[in-house]
Amino acid sequence: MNIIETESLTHRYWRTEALRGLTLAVPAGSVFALLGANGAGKTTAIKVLMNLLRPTAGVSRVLGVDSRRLGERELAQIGYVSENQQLPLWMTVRQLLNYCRPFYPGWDRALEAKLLAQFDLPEDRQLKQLSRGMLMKVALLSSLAYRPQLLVLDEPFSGLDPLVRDDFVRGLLEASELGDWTVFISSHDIEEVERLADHIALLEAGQLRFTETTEALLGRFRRIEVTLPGGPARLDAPPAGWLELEQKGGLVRFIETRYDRAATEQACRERFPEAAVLAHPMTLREIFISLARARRAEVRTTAA
Amino acid sequence: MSLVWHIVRKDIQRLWLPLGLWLALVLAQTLLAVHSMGLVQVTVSSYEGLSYFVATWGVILGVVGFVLAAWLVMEDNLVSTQAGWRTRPINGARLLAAKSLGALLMFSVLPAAVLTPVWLGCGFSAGEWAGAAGALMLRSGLISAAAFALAGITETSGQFLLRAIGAAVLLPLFVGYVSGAFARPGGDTPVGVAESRSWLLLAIGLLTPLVMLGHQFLTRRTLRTVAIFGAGVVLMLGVKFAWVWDFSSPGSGPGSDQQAAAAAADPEVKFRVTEQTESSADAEKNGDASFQARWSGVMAGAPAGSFLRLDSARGLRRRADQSLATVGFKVTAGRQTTPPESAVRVAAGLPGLAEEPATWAIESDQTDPRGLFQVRLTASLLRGRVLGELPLRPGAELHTGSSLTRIVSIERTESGLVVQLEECDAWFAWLAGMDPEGPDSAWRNSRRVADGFVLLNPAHTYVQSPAVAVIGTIRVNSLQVYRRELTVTPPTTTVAGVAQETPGWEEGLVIMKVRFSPDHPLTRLISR
Repeated sequence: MNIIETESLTHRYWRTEALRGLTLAVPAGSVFALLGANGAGKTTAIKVLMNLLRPTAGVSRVLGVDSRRLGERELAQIGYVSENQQLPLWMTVRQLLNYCRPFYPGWDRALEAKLLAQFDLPEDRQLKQLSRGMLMKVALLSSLAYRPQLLVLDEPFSGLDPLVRDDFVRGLLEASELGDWTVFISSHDIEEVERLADHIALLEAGQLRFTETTEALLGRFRRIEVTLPGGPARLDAPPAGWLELEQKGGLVRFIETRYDRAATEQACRERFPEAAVLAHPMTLREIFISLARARRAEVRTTAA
Repeated sequence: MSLVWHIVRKDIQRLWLPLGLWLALVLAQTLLAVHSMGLVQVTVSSYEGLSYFVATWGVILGVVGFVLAAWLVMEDNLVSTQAGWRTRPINGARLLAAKSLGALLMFSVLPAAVLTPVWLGCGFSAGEWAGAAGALMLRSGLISAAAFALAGITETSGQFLLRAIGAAVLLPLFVGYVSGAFARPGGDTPVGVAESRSWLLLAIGLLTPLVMLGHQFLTRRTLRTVAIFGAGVVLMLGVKFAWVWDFSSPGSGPGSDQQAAAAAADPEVKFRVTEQTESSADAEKNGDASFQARWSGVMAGAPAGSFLRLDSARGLRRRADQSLATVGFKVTAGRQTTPPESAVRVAAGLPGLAEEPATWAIESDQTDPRGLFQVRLTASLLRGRVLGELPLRPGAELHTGSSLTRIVSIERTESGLVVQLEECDAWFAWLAGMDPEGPDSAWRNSRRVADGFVLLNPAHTYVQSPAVAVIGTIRVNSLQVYRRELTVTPPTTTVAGVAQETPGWEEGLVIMKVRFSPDHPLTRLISR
C-alpha cells in the first residue's frame, strides 16, 4: 500500500514550471527521501502534497485522499515539519503542546512526555528564545506526539550546525522506533538522508530522475578503476551508463551507474583487454554529485 | 464548539497586551470626554481643540482596532503556504467561526463591558445602554469586517500596510463615485431608480466583503477571492451605469407622498407657503441650469408647550415622461435648535407669551425649471417636559436619567450674569451626519431633542428665559458632553428716575431645564 501517490503532478508559478509531471509512490512504512539541489522542486512537491499549493495538472493522493481534499481527519494523521514553517514564537513549548493537543484525538501524552525528555526541551521557554535546532525539535515533537501515519519533513536539516543536525537525526531515529510511521523527507543534505532513508527519489529541475530503494541505488553505482598494463588506450564510445570517464596515464576511471559485477567487468575487458578492474562502493553524496555533474554536462551539450 | 473556543482563547492570549492597551485608551478617551470640563480653561477655541483631540483620538483608536482585527486574522494567515495551522486539523469554517467570535468578544463585548461602568455612571437607562452597546458593536463589526476581508487575502504585514493605505484612499473615492456623492444633486435619474441603485450599492458593498471572507476562509483560493472583490466593483459600476429599474418602495411616488402627508397631518398645524422663484430669461426655454427656487412661510398651530421644527425638505421634479428626479433643497430657516421662549415657559408650567409663528425657508439652486416641482417638507412637533431645576450657584447639579447638568461658573458682566453649564447626555452616532441635507436627514433630524431654560425665583415674580449659546461639544462612545452659556439680564427697578438693578433679585433663583423631544412627525407637500 502506498501512503503517497502522484501522477503527472505539475505545478507552475506563473511562467515557471516548478514541478513537471512527477509520478511517485511512497510505500507505507518506508523512510522516503526526495533529494534534489536547491530549486529542484522538492518543497513545491511537498506543498502540493500538503494542499498548501494546488497542482496545475496531475493528481496527488495522500493517505488515499486527493491532496486537494485533505481534511481534518487526514491532517490528524499527518505530521509536517518544515524549515520555513511559521511557529507561534510567542508561545512557550508547553503552550504550543497544550494548543495542539485538542486537535488530535490520538494525542499520546506518554509519548509527548517521552519525546520532551528525549529532546531535552525547556517547557517554559518561549519558542522565540530557542535555537533553530531546538525549534525543529519542538516542531518534530508536536508532529509526532499524536503518532501520525505519515511524517513529512521538508528540509529539516537546513541551517542546523553539524552537532545539532546529528542530534536531530538521532532524535528522529530514536523516535522512529516509537511508532510505525511513514517518513517522507525532502533534503539536499545527503549524508543525513543516507542514515535515514530506505527509499530515494531524485528531482532535477522539477522532473523525477529516478526513484528506487537506497539499497538498490547504492548497489548499482560504483567508482571503477581500470589499470591498463600497456599504457593509454582509446576511450571512444563508452556505454551509456558510464559517467565521468577519464584517463590518467595507464589508469582509466569512471562511474558505473548500472553496476553488475560480471557485466561491468566484461564491458571493461571488451575495451581494455588484460586490464585490472577495481570497483569501489560510492556514498549517496558521491552518487548525487556525479549525477548533478552529468546533468550539468548534458544541459551544456544540449545548449551547445 | 470547544475547539472554536480553544482557538479564541489562544488568540486572546496572543493579543491580550495590545488589546488591553487599546481598551485602556478607549476608556481613557471616554473618561477624558466625560471629565473634560474641569480640565480645560473653557473658551470656544479651547473646546474646539479638545473636541478635535478627542475626535482624532477616536480615529486613531479606530485605526488601531482595524489593525488588531487584521492581526487576529493574520495570526493564522490564510495566504501564506508557511502558516502553521494549515497543516493542522483545523478547517476553514472552524477558523472563521473562531475569528468571528474572537472579534465579537475582543472588539465589541470587551469595549462595551469596559464602557458600561461609564455609561451606567452617566445614568443610562437599559434602552440607552443597549443603544450605546449596539452602536459600538455596529461600528466594530464594520471595522472588523473590512479588516478581515483585507487581512484574509494578505500574506505579510508589509503588504497589509500598503493595501490598507491604498484602500483607505481609493475605496472612499470609488464609493463616492458610484454612489453619486460627488455629483450634483438632481440630475436625470428618476428618483425611484436612484433609490433602487442606492439600496443595491449598499447591499453589494456589504455583501462583497462577507462573501470574500467566507470564500477565503473555506477555500483559501486567494486569486478567486480577489476576483470576488473585482466582481463586486464591476457590479457596483454596473448598477451605477446600467441599472434602470425601480424596485423602491411605493412611498417614492408623489401620490403616496400625498397619502403619507394626509396620514401624518395634524389638523391644528398650518403651514403658510410663499413662493419666490427666480430664473433667467431663457431658462424656461432652454432648460439651462440657472433657476432658483425658494419657498418660505410660517408654521403655526403647535399646541401650548410645544413647537414645530422643520427637519428636511425633499424635492422631486416630474418630467414630461412622468418620471421623477430628485432636486436638492436645503433648509435655510426653521430648523431651530433652541425652543421658543413661550413654549419653554408653558412647558415649565408658567404663563406663555404671545409669540410670532415660527418661520421656515428652503431653497434650491440651479435646477431645471421644466416640469412639475414637488417638495416634501418633513417637520416635527416637539413637546417639552421639565427635566428638573437646580439652584443658581456654582457646583449645583441636576441629574435626570442620563442627563447631567452642572453649573460650572457664574460670572457677572456688564450685560448681566453669565452662567456656564456643563452637561452630559446619551447621544448616538446615527444622529450625526456628514450632510445635513442628505437622504437620511429627515430620519436623523427628527430624532433630535432641544433644550430650553427658565430662570425663576420662588415667588415666580421674576421669570426669564435666558439666551443660550453653545460653547462646544464633545461626542464619544454614545456620550455627548457639552458646555453652554446662559446670559441672564438682571431685572431693574427705577429709583428716582434712574433704572437700577433690583437688589437681591438673585436670591433663591433656580434654573429649570426643559427638554423638548419629538412627539410626532408632520409632512407637507408643496408644488409648483
